[in-house]
Amino acid sequence: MDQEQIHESDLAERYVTGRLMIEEQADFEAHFIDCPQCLDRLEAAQALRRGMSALPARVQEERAAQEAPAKVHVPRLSRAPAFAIAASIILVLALADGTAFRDAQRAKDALEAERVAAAGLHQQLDQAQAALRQEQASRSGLEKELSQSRQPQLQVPVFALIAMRGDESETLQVPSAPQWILISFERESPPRFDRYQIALLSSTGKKLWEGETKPTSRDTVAVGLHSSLVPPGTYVFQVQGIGKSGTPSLVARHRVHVVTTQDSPSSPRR
Amino acid sequence: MGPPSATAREGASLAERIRAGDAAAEKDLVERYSRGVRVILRNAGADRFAEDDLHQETFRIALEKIRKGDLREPSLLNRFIAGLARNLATDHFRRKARLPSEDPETLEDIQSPHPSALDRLVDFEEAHCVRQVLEELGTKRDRDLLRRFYLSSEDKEQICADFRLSSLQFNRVLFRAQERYRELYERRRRRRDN
Repeated sequence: MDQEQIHESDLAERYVTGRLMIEEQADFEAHFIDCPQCLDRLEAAQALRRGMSALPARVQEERAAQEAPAKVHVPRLSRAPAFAIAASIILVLALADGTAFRDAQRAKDALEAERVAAAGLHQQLDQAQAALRQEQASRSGLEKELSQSRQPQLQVPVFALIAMRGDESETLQVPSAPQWILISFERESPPRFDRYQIALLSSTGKKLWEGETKPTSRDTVAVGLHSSLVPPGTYVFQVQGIGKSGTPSLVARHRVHVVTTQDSPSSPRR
Repeated sequence: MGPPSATAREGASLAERIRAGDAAAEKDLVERYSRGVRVILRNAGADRFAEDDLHQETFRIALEKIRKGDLREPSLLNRFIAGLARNLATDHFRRKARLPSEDPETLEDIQSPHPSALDRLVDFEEAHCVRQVLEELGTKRDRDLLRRFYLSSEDKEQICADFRLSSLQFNRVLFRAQERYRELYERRRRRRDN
């Protein structure tokens, strides 16, 4: 290992800051252990690192505060000397060669690029903060909703649907506050099926929900639905019995018209 | 690694002299490797007390092995001493991690977790010197660079890219800061010793 190589690859600094691989570290230790030049550099690097770590947090904060651009205090001058100084500056600038101006221009360009980058970062930060606020509001709403849904529901509206002829529909008066409702359907007589498939269709025939269930009693099949699934409108409940072969057979179709009410729910009206 | 270097030859000769019972060679060995062993021990995280103990232990074991002829390749004396120091430091921290125990004998070995008065004084002086070095560095870029290099584990390449510096410029800043720091620290230490 020669000194130039060590200097160029900043081995000493990487060693002190724990950035060397184990083998690299062992090789370097075997070299520097009796190399005064490397030891000078290593001791300086170790001491500086230790000093940086020992720097109290308060001082580091002070240093961070100094990162903000400092205000430049220009002493007030009377008009005549100020004029003379300005003239001198112009003269000096006029005499200076172009290198200084080019350097200054480059520095200015670099500064401007930094400003643009900083502005971009600020904008990204603002957007991220806005998204976070929105997310928090949404989360808060969901938590509230979840909390409400976990409360025991003392009065569960029950709607018993019976087979109707033709296109007659029944009106379900559902409380406006979102809650669970129970809908029961008449079974076929005599009962032939052990399982039923219940589907909720929109007025246009689009399937909104479907589930399979067993009879609730000898005469009925019941399902619990959350009222948020059936906002005011017209729907069709389709009840199919599932035979032993697994083939569904239509048992009944119930056309219902859902309206909301502030009062307690009432029985279906025809 | 190529043919034996001058360092390897000197190391081999030193080991041979020790093995032959030359007391002056033992003294030479300690003088030659003392600083390096301390750097290795400090780098492993040893505090001042542990550093002194482990430094002594390194040379005790090294001399014992060389005298007995246990050093198989005398030309690798550097590697042997460096490895010994590092292994002793590793063992020390491993044992320290297993403590505390309720055994009164081991309790005597437990050091206070609080820094000693000397440690605190040195920390204060080092912090003061760093503060002065940071002040003198002049540019915010150089101060930030030093902080990030010494206090974080970020890659040098990343730091260079962030500061738009070449590796050479980066080294120059580090070197300048280290030299100035060493100068200030030495001056304070001399004043304290006097």
